[in-house]
Amino acid sequence: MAAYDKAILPGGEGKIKIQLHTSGREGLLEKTAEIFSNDPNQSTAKMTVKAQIKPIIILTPTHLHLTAKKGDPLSAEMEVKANLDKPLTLKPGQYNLTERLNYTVVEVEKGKKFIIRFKRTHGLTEPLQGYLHLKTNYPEKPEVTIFIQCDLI
Amino acid sequence: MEPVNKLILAIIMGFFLFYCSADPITTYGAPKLTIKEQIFDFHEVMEGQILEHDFVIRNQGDQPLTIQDVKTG
Repeated sequence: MAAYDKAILPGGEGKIKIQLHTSGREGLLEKTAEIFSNDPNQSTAKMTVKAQIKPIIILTPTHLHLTAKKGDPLSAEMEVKANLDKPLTLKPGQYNLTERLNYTVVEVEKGKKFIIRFKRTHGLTEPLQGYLHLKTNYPEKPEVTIFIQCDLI
Repeated sequence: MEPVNKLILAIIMGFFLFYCSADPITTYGAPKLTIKEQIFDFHEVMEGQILEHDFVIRNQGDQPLTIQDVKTG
């Protein structure tokens, strides 16, 4: 989104406002705006805003990608860590692999670090693909999503 | 010098002077867009914010500058 002054008199100045939305983003984020004007020698010009986005909640790994032998039991762990200086709480949200892959949330460092343990005791007969939403107490990040994929070999 | 040669020389000089004066900015005036900084870096920021930056553009020409559109991608 960009807001801008439409006309600038000779010798004058104008502004072009560029917004950068960082929700759900992580790492390097760039946005380029292209201006179209009546300058006969430079009818277009570009400007760029960029930022290095730090996540509010760090997932390690960023998503769960498993491979298992057909019929074998399955277990995996994921770490969820708060990146703000206030206690984090997690509550179960929507989960679309219920009864196919169980999970438990263990708070290993109060308000700071959690381990999500995924487990399936009876063997897997087909690949799994889904997500787990966990609700948080952070207004800046009300939900974290863990993507889950399990391939059979 | 023969009159015919003088005429040819005059025509060549006429074309040369016309070519030299053909710069539209100096002759007829035009807007000129300049941007003070083309890249702005917010550096490290926490996720969840809406960041804003105002780029300053100047018109260093002698006719009004019109911004027809700004496209972001």
